[in-house]
Amino acid sequence: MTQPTRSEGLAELGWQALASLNVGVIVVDPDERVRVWNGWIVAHSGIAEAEALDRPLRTLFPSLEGGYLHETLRAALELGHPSVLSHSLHEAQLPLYGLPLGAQVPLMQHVHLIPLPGTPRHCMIQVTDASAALKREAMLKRKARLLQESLELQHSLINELEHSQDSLELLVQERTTQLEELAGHLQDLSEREKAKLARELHDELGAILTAIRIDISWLQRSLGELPPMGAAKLQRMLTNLDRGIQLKRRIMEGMRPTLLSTFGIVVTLRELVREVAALNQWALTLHLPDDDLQLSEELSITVFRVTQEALTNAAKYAEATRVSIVLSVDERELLLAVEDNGVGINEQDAQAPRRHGILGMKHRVFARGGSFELQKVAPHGTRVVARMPR
Amino acid sequence: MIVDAVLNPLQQDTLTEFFNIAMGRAAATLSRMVSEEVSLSVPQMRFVRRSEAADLIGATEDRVCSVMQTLRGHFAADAMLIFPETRSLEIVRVMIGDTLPLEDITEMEQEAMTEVGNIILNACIGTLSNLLDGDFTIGLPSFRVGSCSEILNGFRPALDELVLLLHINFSVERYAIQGYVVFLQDVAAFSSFVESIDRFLERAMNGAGAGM
Ligand SMILES: Nc1ncnc2c1ncn2[C@@H]1O[C@H](COP(=O)(O)OP(=O)(O)OP(=O)(O)O)[C@@H](O)[C@H]1O
Ligand SMILES: [Mg+2]
Repeated sequence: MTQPTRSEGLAELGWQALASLNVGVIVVDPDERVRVWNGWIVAHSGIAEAEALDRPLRTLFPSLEGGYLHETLRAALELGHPSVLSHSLHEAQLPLYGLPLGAQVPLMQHVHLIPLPGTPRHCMIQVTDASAALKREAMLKRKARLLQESLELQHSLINELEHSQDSLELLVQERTTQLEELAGHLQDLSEREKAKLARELHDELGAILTAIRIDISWLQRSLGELPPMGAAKLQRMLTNLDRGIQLKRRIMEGMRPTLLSTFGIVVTLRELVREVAALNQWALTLHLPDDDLQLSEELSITVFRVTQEALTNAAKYAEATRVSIVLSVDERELLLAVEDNGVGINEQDAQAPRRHGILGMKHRVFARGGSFELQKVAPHGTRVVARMPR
Repeated sequence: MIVDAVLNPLQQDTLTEFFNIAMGRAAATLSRMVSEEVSLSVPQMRFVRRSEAADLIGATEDRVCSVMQTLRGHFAADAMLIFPETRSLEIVRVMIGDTLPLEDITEMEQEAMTEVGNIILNACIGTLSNLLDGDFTIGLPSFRVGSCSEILNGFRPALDELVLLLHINFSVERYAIQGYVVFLQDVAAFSSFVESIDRFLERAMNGAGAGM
């Protein structure tokens, strides 16, 4: 056995490398006869090398005849034009299959046609498996789609959330108005009941007491000289009866400012304020309309009650020396302001739980469709301001 | 004007016509491949300095896609097809019918783009090697994305030599893009290049027939 020459050794190595390449290599001569058919092509075509060599490619792969790849192969052989045939633009170009062959899954492939230098010109057909890249790309696109979908979902959720927030707000608003209406209604109701009670006290009880008083006076006059004991008893009856009448009047006044219905708001208010101011030794500033106002009964009561509560608070907490009241009206609006020069009110106190005065004033004013404000007065003091449509 | 120095208007028209015939063939091939109406034309062909070509093709910072093939043999040249990046992505997506375009060009799109470029370049190179009657080894196409000047200067030393610039109109469906084919050649090769063109045109004009 002779030692192979260096170039023979290299050629042998080259063949081995070609045979075991992980890409498909076919070389054809100008007549398209197969000159090289490497191991990868054998594995993916199921055609043995011995069977393929020297046979025209189109008899091994009849489907190629006249097709685009065949045309490009002719151009490579005749003109030396190299070509790239991508998987995206041509599917399953050569009848090759994935492993195992039996499953007959067409191989996704990129094909390069590379004219080889030399005469006559041969052409190398290089085939690479594109399935890994395709799978990668499909995954990438799936992820991109998922991302897009989740973004869309997020978007629509945000929309929905905003929408439900809006409707929640609306609901809250609606409920608040309902509650205010209810509070107003209850106040009206309680005012009406107080008024009814006052009327009954006045008309019924008042009438009874007055009748008794007349009768006792008659007795006093007509019985003439009485034994001292009898006269004293009769006098005590009369005194107690007067106290009863006084009590009835006081209860009535508290429940329903009778002055209001009799004399109207301006006079009533002036009386109320003067009385409270005298009691607390306040200096008083009054700005009231000269003539009486024509206000609805509800509005009059609201003005009266708000003034009453503001004055009560001033008396209880303010330690004021001066109080001023303003009541003014124009065609559309009524303004009431009750101001003291006391210690002032802080926010927590104003909102303290189980305190109903300020809340009550507010509700009364809101129920009349007005606005209510507690203001700080410089240098110290508190102003209660209510505006209501007439 | 540089073109006047190299070719007279008649020569220029004739050459443009040859390139247009080749483009027509390439368009037919592409149409068949993607089953869409593809059209390709060369409205203009001229010699310009390389720097001028870069200006013509686009602002230096504009990103472009390129497919390049080398020619070696009779003389050395690089043939380069250049398209604006986003527009060419659009067109390649129309051709491969992609439903979910990603922001960047994908491997498959790049392969497809390379193949399209390959077909156009082969047609131009075929015309040119006919003109020059030369024998070339033509390299496989390679794809590259970059700025215009990177692409134009990246492969060769920065010499401001004359290049052959073909303006290409390329449209698929309702998408149309404008691109360029540039032939960059050695300075040494340039004069023989122009001589070959002269010779060819002389033969062609004398009715010797120029098999394309
Ligand atoms: N004019 C004022 N000056 C200083 N502090 C005040 C004044 N008015 C109210 N306040 C403070 O605000 C708090 C709340 O007043 P509000 O009238 O709501 O409740 P109240 O008077 O304590 O109890 P209620 O009126 O229910 O009997 C008071 O406890 C007091 O601390
Ligand atoms: Mg109070």
